[in-house]
Amino acid sequence: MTKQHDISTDDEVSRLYKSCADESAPRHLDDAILRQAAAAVHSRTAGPVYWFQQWLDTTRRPLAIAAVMLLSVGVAVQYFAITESNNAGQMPLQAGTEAWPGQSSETPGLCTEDQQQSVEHWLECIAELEKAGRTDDATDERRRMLRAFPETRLSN
Amino acid sequence: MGAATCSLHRPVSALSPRAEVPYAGAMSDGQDDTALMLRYQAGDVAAFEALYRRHNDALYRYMLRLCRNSHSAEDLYQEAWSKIIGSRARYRPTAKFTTFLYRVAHNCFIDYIRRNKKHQGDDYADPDGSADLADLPDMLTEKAMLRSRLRAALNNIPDDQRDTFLLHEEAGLSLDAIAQVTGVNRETAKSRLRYANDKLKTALMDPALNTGDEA
Repeated sequence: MTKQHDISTDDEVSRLYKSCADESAPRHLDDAILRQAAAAVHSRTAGPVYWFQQWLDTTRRPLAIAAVMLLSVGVAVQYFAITESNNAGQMPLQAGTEAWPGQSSETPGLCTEDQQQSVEHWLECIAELEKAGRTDDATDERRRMLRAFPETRLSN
Repeated sequence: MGAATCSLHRPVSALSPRAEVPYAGAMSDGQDDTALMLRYQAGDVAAFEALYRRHNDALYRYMLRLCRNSHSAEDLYQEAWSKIIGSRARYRPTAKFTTFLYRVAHNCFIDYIRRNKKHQGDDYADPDGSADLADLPDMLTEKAMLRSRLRAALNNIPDDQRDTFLLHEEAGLSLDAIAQVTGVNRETAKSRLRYANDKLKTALMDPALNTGDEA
């Protein structure tokens, strides 16, 4: 008479499985893998490549963080340089280069050099800018004109 | 392991859980496994050997049952350990070593499936299956029959359910760890395990269901 297992719960299946799962890894694989593990230690610790990789592994994260910070600072510095030069009415330029084709970097502005020769013409140019709704440009030109002709007194 | 533990005559309740689990050591002591791997990382070959001895049989069975093909199982088993050895320098103890080991093994199997779209386990060498059952003593015959039924039942369930069942039984992984290894969420892992258990239970309770798969 035989009596079957009462396989009524997951636990029974688990026990039944484990009671029969008794295969072992082949001995030749054990030997091969253990040899490989030993060889990996001996070969890798011997060469400079191993030490370089170890160094790289330990410094990879700090190096990455430093690179990101440098890039961020670089971008921020560039951004502020552009903003400041825009506020000053000019693009960031290398020393000695021209602001725009045909225009000297010494006298940047919206009124031409001819107009800037006399207060009257300069004022006409400023008036045109204001008329066109370019009040900021007009204000800059007025400031520039007052620097060029300090004796000028402007009425409203 | 002793053949007696497989007898169909013995009530399950009489079996000692500890004796039934020859690879229980592999399922516990995650901390120690990590320490051993870190020692191996530092160049201690003996630490690797201890680690290997803890997990070799369970991992081999995992591969064997997944592949259903002893040659492929041996190849994948060796490939998985080679990857563990190769990743020695980069190893970081962010998870239990068992989770790490079976994730590597699982990925090896996935690659194997991709390489061999039509993977079929018709040459799974079962040591008991090749013998003439009539010539064996009763206990061994029962063991062989049970093994055969279990093998057939396991072969009948889908790959993902078998994978989940084996990760639970062989590796002793929790549902969270199984989800991590197989790349699914916990609920999916839980449902796969439940389906696998239900199917195996049904198949083992009714041997007639499996007889057709033995050929």
